Amino acid sequence: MKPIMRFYAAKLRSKPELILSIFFVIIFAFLIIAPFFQMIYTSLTYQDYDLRLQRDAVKGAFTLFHYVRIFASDLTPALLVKPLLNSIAVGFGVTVLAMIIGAFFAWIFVRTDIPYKKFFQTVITIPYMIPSWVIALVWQLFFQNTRIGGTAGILQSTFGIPIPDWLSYGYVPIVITLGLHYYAYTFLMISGALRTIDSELEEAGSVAGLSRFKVLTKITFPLVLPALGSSFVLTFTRSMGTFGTPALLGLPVRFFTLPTQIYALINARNTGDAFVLALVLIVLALTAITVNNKIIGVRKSFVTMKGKGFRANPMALGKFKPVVVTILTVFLLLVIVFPIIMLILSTFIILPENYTLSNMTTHYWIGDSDPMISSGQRGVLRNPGILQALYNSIRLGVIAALVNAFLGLLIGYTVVKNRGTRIAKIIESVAFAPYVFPGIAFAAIYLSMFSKPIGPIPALYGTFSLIVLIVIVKNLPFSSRSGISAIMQIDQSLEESAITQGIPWLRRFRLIILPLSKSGFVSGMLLTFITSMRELSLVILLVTPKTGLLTTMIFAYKTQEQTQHVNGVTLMLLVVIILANVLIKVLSMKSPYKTIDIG
Amino acid sequence: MNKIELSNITKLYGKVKAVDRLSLEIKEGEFLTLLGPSGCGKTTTLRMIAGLEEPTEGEIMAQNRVLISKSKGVYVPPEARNMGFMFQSYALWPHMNVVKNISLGLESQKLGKSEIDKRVKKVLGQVQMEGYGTRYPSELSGGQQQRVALARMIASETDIFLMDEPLSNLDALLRVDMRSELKHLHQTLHSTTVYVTHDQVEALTLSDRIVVMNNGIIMQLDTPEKIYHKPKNLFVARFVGSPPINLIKGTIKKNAPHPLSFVSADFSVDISDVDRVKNVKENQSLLLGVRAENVSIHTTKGEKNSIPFSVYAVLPSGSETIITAKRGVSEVMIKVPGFFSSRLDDNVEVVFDQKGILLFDEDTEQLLN
Repeated sequence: MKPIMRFYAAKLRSKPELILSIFFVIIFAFLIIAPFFQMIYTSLTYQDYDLRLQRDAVKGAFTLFHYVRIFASDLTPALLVKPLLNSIAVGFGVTVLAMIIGAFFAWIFVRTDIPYKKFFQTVITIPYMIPSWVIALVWQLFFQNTRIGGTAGILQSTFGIPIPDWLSYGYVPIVITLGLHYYAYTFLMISGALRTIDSELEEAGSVAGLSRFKVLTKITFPLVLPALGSSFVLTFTRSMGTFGTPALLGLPVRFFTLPTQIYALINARNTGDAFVLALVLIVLALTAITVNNKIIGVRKSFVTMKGKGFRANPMALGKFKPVVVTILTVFLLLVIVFPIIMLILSTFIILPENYTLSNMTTHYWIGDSDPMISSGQRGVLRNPGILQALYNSIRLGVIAALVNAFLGLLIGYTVVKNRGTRIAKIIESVAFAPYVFPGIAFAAIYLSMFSKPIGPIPALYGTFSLIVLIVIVKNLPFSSRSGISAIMQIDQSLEESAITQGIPWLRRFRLIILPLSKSGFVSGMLLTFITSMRELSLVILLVTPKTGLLTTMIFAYKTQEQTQHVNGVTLMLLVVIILANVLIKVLSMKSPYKTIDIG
Repeated sequence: MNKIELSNITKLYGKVKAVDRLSLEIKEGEFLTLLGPSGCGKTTTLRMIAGLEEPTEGEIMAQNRVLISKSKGVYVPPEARNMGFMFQSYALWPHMNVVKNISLGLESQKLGKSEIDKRVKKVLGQVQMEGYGTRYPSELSGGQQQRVALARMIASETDIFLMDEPLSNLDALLRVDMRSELKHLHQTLHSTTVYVTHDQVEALTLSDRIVVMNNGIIMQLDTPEKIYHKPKNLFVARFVGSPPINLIKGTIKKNAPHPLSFVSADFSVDISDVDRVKNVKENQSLLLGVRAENVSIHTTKGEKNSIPFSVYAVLPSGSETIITAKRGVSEVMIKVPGFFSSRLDDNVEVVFDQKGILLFDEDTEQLLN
């Protein structure tokens, strides 16, 4: 062997960050890049579905057929224009609603002397934990009308108020229910930005003789404007690409957004067209991210955004205090407490309109099979299908949480240790790529990719492993981000001092890096657990009766209009998520962790 | 045995040369300091010896073996170099107590438990930190953290110590204290020590030899005495010494008024007896350098070769006083022991001690005499 080869061989052997980067490049190429190109390839070739439409088509031959159909044919308005416009309209409406609510709360909590701050703040971010479509389910409990069939909602059945179609299905309810979910995101983002503004700047305004209103409009607002812009763009893309709520409230009246249109096409086995639409969605998301990075770039130039401590003098609400507290309380009751109570109540009621005790039963929870009720479905707690789904969901959540938190940390280590090199940039951006993949299209690709064995990997079609795998990959953007920031917080010299003392890598990782990044590791685990538990669009194509999850179970019961089971399983899901939160809180409080000021 | 040799080391960060074809031999048991302004390549050089950075080109040898060389195909990872390293931030592990901080590296050396306990006890004694074993770093003061870091480094019983500005995070008083601690330790253990600092006083007080670096290049490698009294070039002359060396522009002339005079815009200085002054040609553009303690100040006239100046500022600091005096556009700083009472614009007589005069070529910036 040449000396230079010997040199690099020795170096590679002793540099785990190099070995790790090679490892990540290989598995990312296989699990992220290859599926993406498979998607493009499928959209450019004839598929089985097309053979019926095109007599001279040969399966697998190159064609622009799908692009012509989507972009320039009689079907363009139905397949592309309408869903696209609907998506944009939904995204816009949701974002405006979420921004108004979120910005108002952010200002109240960060800048005023509102009482019970901690309590209100915890409650107000609850929607962040629960699946966005739970509110849609509650909406239907109230506002569903009988036009589509099924049972009417409470307002119509109990109070006899006729519910017009526009309030029952379609655009308006989608925007309202999603807005009541996404305000939690905008709230967190805007309050984060508000916290970084030194209140001395506002005080300087007051001293200079500006009124409170002028301080707000002339000083505070321009300073948070970039943060507002950034949260607008992010909320817009997220709500535009969401699947559950438009599926529940839109599909029954054929109100399609891009994700539900993709779902409909894939269900019809028209994968070629579906993937073209998926690529449209990816391009939209990439554009939004580029815009967002531009905005954040502007934000960085604000000298006021410093990480150092500063004084934040809360503004006295004075006589408005009771008013604000009332608004908050009513909002929380209406949006969080009341819906959950109604969800609970609905699972004990046999006939929808009757709330007397005689109409109540525990059958839907613990009842045995009775052909007269719920097509003979057993009660939620005794139903083997549901219990299997509960087990599967928790198993999925736990495995994904562990694997993702660990992978995230390793990715963080690789990226940070190789910082400045091209390979670090590649790993960082490829790990983020699944963020822009529409869940259903991504699942469809995985389904076809893993339908036959690849090398040592057996066919994963219909297995639980495939679900676990795709959920892990889809969670990589978040876990790699949190892994990178966790590793960045560890001063480089802490590992280097272990290196110079001859402590080998595995020991360093286990005894120094892992304990020091524990808090990031734990919160990353919780986040992955929650997102995996509420995952719907990604797994809906992949589940079989044996591998069903709570979310897909809810969806299945929904299509059978078994309201009590839908709500029962939903409550079960909420309980698991809340318990996980509590568990993590308790565990991380016990940590005997000590910190020192380094440097 | 514990010699360290760097030959032709170059380190590139992208297109920036952090270290440029540097060759250096560090003798066994020597205390060598790398001194220079930030960004001069001193820390990079130290980290390359430890293996934390990898030279783009060149070869490093230590303990009679090649550590890194592309042409010989050798790469010894930092874990296997067996050198002690002390970081500016101390790099104590915040989640481990003092004993664990010291013993973790020893455990990797496959030492027995009793041997580890013995060593931990011994080094804690050496740095006067007995009784602090169960404390966490957050429960120690800066100086105590420093001592633990030192204990951790000597515990491995290696004979090469590398230290990266270990005292720069301490307050002034502790720093003086730790300096004598480090010097004492070096003289007891005789380990080869490479020390990085930007503090010239630290370098002068601690080192056997000093390497002054700038822009990745060695400006001078010498004993502290030579570095201070015979700086090879203007960079070293300016960088070392406090207050900074006096520099006056001018040329030399014969017989006007002294046998050999240095003539500046505002005055002329007798340099007839300056060492090796023959190296200097007439009419060459020069800078005359003289340290503040080699200038004397007199309130009475009649001193030989004295030049009248007027007082600009007086800065007493207890043990000594620094006086800035002006004549025309020229300014000199003078150091006198104790206090010196004088008022603004007082007329004084200034004498340049010929033994302390250095002459630099203005263009090449090299010392001429």
